[in-house]
Amino acid sequence: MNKIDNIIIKYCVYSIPLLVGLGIWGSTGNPEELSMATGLQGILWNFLGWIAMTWVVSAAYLSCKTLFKSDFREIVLKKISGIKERDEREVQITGSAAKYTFFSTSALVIFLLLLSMFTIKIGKYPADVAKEGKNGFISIGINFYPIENPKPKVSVSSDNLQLFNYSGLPSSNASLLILILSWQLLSYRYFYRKET
Amino acid sequence: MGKSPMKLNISNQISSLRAENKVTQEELAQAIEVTRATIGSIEKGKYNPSLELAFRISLFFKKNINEVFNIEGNHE
Repeated sequence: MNKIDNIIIKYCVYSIPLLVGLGIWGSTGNPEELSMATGLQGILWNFLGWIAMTWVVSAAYLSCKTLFKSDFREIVLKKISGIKERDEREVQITGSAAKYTFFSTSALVIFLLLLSMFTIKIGKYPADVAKEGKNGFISIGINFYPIENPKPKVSVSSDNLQLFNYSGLPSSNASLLILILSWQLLSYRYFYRKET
Repeated sequence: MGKSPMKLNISNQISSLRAENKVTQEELAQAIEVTRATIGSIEKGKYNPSLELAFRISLFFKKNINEVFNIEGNHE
């Protein structure tokens, strides 16, 4: 890893608290007013804004390099996941922890895929429509949208007809990816510790 | 299904050989280029070393491999 990459990685890691602070400040105050602000407040807002922009560019560069450069990927991901291969025992433990992590992550992805595909509708027929012995309905089905998942994901209707409607995971793509990534890293660490 | 494979119980004398030669786990680990934890695991029988590592340990103590590692076989 060269010096510039090292500096960029450190910048991306150590500026995270500033970005969190900027996010909190932006969500509690009015960003439009803050961008027009003068004095110390304005200077600070603009400074944090530049930090955020530089962070985004740096993070994009690092993620592209991690994707395409295998030696860089190995160094960075070894540090993030805490992989140690100093001798044959650690290489063996890494292998079996990686196997268990692959299994548990695959199981999670399959589970999330099913949750994102199936639909449940629970409803009650209005009194004039209800037939003898049939006051409500439960419908379970499967939906698959390869490009876009229509909303709403989970809703509880206010009218009498539909009481509950579930059609896919009520989460954003980003939060799902964070969940899978965190699961993968944490399960690797768990299995590694368990094996040692 | 055929006969179940023979399970080998491998024990070792590393701990007593270390005590005899007044060598710490750390010193042995450095000499044979492994971590101290690996020496600990081998001594406790939690990890069976590769043939190469077993020979490195034996050579360190100037012993034959069967003087350091003992194998007892039984069918399960």
